[in-house]
Amino acid sequence: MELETDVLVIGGGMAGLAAACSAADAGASVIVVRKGHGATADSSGAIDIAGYLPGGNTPFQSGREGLRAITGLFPYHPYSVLGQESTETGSQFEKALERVEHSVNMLKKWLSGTPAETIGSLERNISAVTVLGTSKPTSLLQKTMLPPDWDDDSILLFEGFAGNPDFNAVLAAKTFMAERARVGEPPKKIADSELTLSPFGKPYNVSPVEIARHLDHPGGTAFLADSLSKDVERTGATHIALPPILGLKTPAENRRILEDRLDVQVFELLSFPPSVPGLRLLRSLDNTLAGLDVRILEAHEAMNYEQSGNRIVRVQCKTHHRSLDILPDSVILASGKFIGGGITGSENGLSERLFGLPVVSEDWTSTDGIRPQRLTRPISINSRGHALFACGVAVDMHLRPLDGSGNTFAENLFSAGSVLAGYNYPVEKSGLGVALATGVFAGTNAAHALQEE
Amino acid sequence: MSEEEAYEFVKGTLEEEGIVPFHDDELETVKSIENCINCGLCINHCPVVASVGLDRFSGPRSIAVQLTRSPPEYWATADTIYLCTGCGTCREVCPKNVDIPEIVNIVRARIFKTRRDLVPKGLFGVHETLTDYRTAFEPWDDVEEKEASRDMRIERLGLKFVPDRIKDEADVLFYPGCQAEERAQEVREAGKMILEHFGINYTLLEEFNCCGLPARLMGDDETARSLAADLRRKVKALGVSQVVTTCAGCTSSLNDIARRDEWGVPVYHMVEYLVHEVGLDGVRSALKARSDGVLKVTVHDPCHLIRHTSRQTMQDALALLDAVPGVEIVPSGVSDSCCGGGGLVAYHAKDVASAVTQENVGGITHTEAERVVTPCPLCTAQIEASLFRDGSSIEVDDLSVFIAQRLVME
Ligand SMILES: Cc1cc2nc3c(=O)[nH]c(=O)nc-3n(C[C@H](O)[C@H](O)[C@H](O)COP(=O)(O)OP(=O)(O)OC[C@H]3O[C@@H](n4cnc5c(N)ncnc54)[C@H](O)[C@@H]3O)c2cc1C
Ligand code: SF4
Ligand code: SF4
Repeated sequence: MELETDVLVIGGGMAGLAAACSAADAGASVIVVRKGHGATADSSGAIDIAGYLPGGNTPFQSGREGLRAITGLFPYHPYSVLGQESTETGSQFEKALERVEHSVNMLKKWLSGTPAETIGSLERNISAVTVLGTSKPTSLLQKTMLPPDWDDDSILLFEGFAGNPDFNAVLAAKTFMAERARVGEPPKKIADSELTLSPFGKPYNVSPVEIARHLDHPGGTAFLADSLSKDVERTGATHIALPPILGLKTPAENRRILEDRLDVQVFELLSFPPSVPGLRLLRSLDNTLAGLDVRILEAHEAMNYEQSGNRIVRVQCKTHHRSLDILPDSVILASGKFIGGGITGSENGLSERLFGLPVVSEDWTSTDGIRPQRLTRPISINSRGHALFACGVAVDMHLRPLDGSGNTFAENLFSAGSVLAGYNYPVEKSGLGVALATGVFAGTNAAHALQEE
Repeated sequence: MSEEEAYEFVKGTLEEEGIVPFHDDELETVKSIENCINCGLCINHCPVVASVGLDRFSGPRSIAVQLTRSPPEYWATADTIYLCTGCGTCREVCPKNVDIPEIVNIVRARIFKTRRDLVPKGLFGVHETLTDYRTAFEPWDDVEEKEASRDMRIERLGLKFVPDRIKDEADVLFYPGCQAEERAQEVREAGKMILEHFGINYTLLEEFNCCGLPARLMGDDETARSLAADLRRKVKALGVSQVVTTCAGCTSSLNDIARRDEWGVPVYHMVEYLVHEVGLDGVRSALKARSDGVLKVTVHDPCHLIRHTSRQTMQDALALLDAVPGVEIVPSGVSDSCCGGGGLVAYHAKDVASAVTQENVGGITHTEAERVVTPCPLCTAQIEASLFRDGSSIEVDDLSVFIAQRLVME
């Protein structure tokens, strides 16, 4: 079977979905193929733009500051590529900033009114709190995850759920308290407690998503408010930190119910995969795309392609027992890295799975024949991170992948997200931000290329 | 000792340990389990976890990283592994395409072989029927009664009787499946009507037998393989070039065994056959509205079509419905949620199956739809029963019946 489309997006994580949204916004017909979920679904849902410089220990105060430093120091970082179009010296940062700002605004628009409604800006990084009680700089958060303002009189209660192994309120409270004391900032009084909320009757092996679904049911959140009221009374809490369980469908409404009934401020912590906010983010973007008449072909894997001259003219996709050929005008490769599966490693080195594009390392040298272990450092957690995570495909200024000789691989193939080389997202804290900004740019470029034909 | 003897010797030792070696055709699935990165994404999507909680059903991740890792202890998973409906949702979201629904069958097969006492009792009825009659439902004692029931259904639904066609040199084998052979006979009749209407040179099997799916799902691998072999022999003897079925479960199961046993013949669901072989234009011109006014219809996507065959199949089903005059399709938002009928779970854990159904029923009753249409007689029966229990008056139609009812009769 064959399907024609203006733009084919390969991959349905943040990069692919942002690319699809922006191409569809520009009037193109779009199909997304997604072989499975990837790093985006696995993320905490906090959208990092720029948190640190590789090797640095002081977080950036804002996404803007981060972009300035990164574009100044790393001319081929994906953020810098966004600004390459501008030829005047020094204005690469301005152009990149403009592009990232635009993509942040687009994302807020796409997510507005969804369960993953997002706030934040490039003007100030947010210090988000994790389930470990640590803080992490990020740029955009789902509304229900934003730590509220607190002062010296505030009392923050970390509330856990019996049987949910992902969150230990005692430890989180301890760690958070130690950190607050170190930086000398409020809140000064911190408490912890645990309540029992067993959606299925037993307080063991309770997964966060179970609690979230339970709170979406009529009366579910009111019941939680009742259970919480004793702890609020006992501790005098003015603020409550919950693991991210406020619901899949109506988290904002559920939070409002808690806040109204308990007269406190409530927020969700950042958590481990598989997190509820990661799921909310993915689902919300999927729904936005459905509203734009974009089809997401679940469980379809792009396996092969055909090229004619300098263009990709056909992409063969496989699903369980059927295959499907897509005939696109433009293609966006947003297949992710090791989790998404865009890049895989073996004892013969790293490879890009679909087009066989050359994969380069941190220093832009080929990874051909290099065992992936050689791209890691002996100490697992260090501020410079591992080169392995900065490996990917190299691109031109329109985000078109390059072949082994440094030429554009195909004039109608664009790429976005973690399949790209040149940024070390775990240490930079830039994962979803780069995916978003390059996704929007690739989607715009792909739609633009159509009009030129 | 020859290599063959050595192999038998080792197998004997393994048998004492309660270990059943994997078949060659199972190795791909077994290897896929090793790719699990323990990310847990699947847990968030499993309908059984969502309905009964992780404590009762430890979920797909635990199947990948715990329950399938220790062959001698497979028996210890019996209380969990039989609760999977095999819906395939986990495999669809899994970044590493870990084949949970298939490994579940493989583990069940080991339990069935070594510790049959731990197989849920509710499954033995089906097991007996399958081994006694080679179909999943007990055949009618009295052929006349069966025909009377068929005629009653045809009349009630406004279908036309077409005599059975069993002939040599047909192009297409029409395989209605156990449910339509013995229970939902109207689906078998509808399938014949449609094929006849479009002038297809088709045949039925002279002697029908089950494709083996229920046997495979309960873990009776031997019966499953022997049923599959019977069917292969019959298909080969007929020399047909295509197989068409009206059942979603049969579509995926026949595709599985046709690939594994190298039938060399494609197997299509009726919706695919109509859209791609007959052609949508031809179908459209053969259909008429059944009554005045607009009928609001919502669809249900059978797991065995969308997740075990291809999501495209429902695109075909929607295109067909769209070609029917006087039909308006209203989305339910839950069309791809599991109906609870899979994996034989309803045979032994009714509470789990009906908990799974809740999302489906809730979504359907929240629409303005007057009718649910689904391309599978098993889903039809399952959803009909769930809606009835819920006190809903929404009717459910098998898609083939729905189409056959609207064929322009000369
Ligand atoms: C555990 C974890 C936590 C993280 N937490 C955060 C966080 O809190 N904040 C943050 O900003 N960043 C975080 N990151 C980083 C961030 O999640 C990723 O950098 C980002 O999601 C990458 O998005 P992507 O769209 O490029 O890739 P992915 O989200 O991995 O998407 C790739 C997609 O491509 C599909 N695909 C691959 N090959 C094919 C093919 N051949 N055919 C069809 N489809 C294909 C995959 O199935 C998948 O849908 C985290 C990463 C991990 C692993
Ligand atoms: S196949 Fe369905 S029921 Fe079974 S584990 Fe996977 S998602 Fe759950
Ligand atoms: S989604 Fe796949 S890889 Fe992740 S835990 Fe489940 S089976 Fe393992």
